[in-house]
Amino acid sequence: MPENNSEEIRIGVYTCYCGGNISDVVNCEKVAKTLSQLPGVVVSRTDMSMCSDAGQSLIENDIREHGVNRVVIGACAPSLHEQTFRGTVARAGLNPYLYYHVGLREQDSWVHHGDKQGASCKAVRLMMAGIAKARHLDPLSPIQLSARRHALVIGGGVAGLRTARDVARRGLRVTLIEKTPFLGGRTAQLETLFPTGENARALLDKLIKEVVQHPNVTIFTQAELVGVSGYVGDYQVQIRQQSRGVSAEMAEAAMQACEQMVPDEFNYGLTQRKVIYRAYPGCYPDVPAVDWEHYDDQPIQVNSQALRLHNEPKTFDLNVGAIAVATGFNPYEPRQGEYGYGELPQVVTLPQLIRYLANLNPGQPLEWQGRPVRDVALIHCVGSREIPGVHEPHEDGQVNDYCSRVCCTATLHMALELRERFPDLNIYDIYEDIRTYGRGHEDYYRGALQEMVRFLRFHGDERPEVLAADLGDDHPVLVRTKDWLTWGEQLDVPADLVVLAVGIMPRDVSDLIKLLKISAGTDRFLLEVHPKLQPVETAVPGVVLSGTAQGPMTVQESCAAASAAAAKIAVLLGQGQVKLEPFVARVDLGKCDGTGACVEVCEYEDAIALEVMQIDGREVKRAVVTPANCSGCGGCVSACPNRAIDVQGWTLRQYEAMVDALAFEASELMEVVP
Amino acid sequence: MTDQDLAKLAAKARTQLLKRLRSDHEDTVAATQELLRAYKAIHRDICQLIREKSKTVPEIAEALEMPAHEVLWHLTALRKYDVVAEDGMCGEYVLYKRVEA
Repeated sequence: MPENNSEEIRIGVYTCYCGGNISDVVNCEKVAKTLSQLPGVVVSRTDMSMCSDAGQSLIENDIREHGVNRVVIGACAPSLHEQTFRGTVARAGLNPYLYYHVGLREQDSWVHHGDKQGASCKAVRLMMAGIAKARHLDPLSPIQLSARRHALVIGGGVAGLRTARDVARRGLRVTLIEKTPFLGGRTAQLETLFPTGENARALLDKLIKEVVQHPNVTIFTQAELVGVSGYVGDYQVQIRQQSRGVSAEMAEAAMQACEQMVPDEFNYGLTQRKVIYRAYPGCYPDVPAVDWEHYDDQPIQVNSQALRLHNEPKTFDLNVGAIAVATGFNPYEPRQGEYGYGELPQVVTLPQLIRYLANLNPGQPLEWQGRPVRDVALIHCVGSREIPGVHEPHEDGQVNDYCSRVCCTATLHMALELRERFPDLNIYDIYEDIRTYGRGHEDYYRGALQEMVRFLRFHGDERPEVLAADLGDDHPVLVRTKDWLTWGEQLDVPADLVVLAVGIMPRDVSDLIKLLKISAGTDRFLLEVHPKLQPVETAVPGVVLSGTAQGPMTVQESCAAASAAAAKIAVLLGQGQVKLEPFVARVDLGKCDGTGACVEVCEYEDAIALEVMQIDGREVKRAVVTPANCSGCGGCVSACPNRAIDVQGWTLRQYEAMVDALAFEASELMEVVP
Repeated sequence: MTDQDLAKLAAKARTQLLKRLRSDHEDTVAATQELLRAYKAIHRDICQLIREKSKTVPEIAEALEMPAHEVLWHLTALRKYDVVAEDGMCGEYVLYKRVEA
């Protein structure tokens, strides 16, 4: 391996105070003095904040003036400032990979604040390990790949549309695929949006128009991803698209003639629709489509002709540089009998009520099951904030212990809409906590208080019960709850309609997770690399998350996340070239004898393979790495019997040097420092 | 050469490699072995103490005359490898018990 031993190693060591985060616990001055005794260390300094301009200048100056050619910085987590310091080192003319970052804050001072001496000793050990590694660092170069200026967006809801529009506006090509026959997603099922009060459909129509009219965007509905290979900058994706079923000319007549009815999922099963259908008036595309899942294969009589519909899916390939996953969410579907749902007809979910009210004419009185509604009870946290051990797990064995975030404001928004449209209604809001966290959301709570919405508060482990009222009662159902606003008094709230504020559930995208090799969190939503530092990136380069596929979000937050995803794609592909970290496997052909053990253990497709080559006039098989597909996991390193493979920047020699340094008793070295 | 011969050769190569690594890193091996011996003794004492009756960190610390934070540190390691497990609460403190294999 090309570890450069001929050059004189001159190490600059920097111990950061981190504004007190480290120095309040670790004796940074003593650490720096101790480290200055080590061979090869030419400067050892401290600073209140190495990441500040002054701190960085210090390092740059040492590289230029003192000939420092290896840099070790002990500071906060590398995830926070590794890039910063790589830039510092590069500005001074040194290869940015001749620098190593030691995490002294998260790994030391924050976890050992009760033992200052021990923490200082540990700081010395960690830094010594860093210095030991630095002695064996080699200059590296990022892997450069040409990138296709073309992105795939999976999902045609508000987040997918927004990502597609923003990417297209930056001059890149976009292909948007939507699994259902129509664009719009869940937002199309809403009426007014909080906190702006805008009409959801109007907002969506504008967005769809912008996307559809943009020359850089191609849309495929009834389409899904079925295959992926390649790597960031050059993914080969396979897309399967269902037939629309009827031609544009025949579609209208076929829809009119169609007699087969199925529950309309757009109205959450409250109404029926035909099996040849439009999701909603004015949807895009305007051409009706066949619901293949429910179509009973019977011919439809159109203009006295029997029309039999056939689904002939077609599959096609596409090359894209990046992929945005905007697969959205499902509202929680309560179990049979949960709060009376599915057993008592007066129990509905909030999304169902939104659809019901949307289909009610202005001025029309509120009735349910032919009965005037005078009392409505809204129950919060249905399918959210469940407690393991208290609440029954769902079919997949999981308990939804997360907060769905949007339902508190959505419920209060509904309470106010009900008050406005039906002023005589008695509205009860039965909640665990009110979490109106967003800007302007608290106004809905204050508004509901002013509008005489009656609040009752339950404890999470004692949720309300919804019971059928006795025969002859004025109301068909009762909500029985302990109200902790009146110190635990048990109350029976008579209601004509009970509305369950259901939470946000992750969609089952397990196939997509497998295809893209991305991850889901314990809450089953798709997982980003870091919630603050890389909030829309997945661990797979070039695959980003957009909107509620990642977790509960309002429409406003979804749009922000979607724009962030678009910005990431634009930055990644905008230059037509992608730079990747060089920490990938490298084979020493002199040591490799083609056992293939590395290929057997490698979990990444096309990352390492045996290739036939000529060495010293002989035809031999040797392992060859495709850097773009290699994750640098090191599996092959441990499998190779000849130590012929190393991960660049993390070689076995570097590890051994670090272990040797860690095993050294640092306190002895510290004792000689005054 | 048969597969068995190849396997023997590979095993021999591995043994030689380990021998060389041990010799190259003699001081490291000695230092870490010493550390492991010390930890092992502490782990044995903790396990013996909580085999019959679950105990809290302060109780273990008192019995072994060790600082509580060190006891917790060792218990965390034992917990990670399922050697000990939580066994309810005693006031504000978690009780730990030895997990029988």
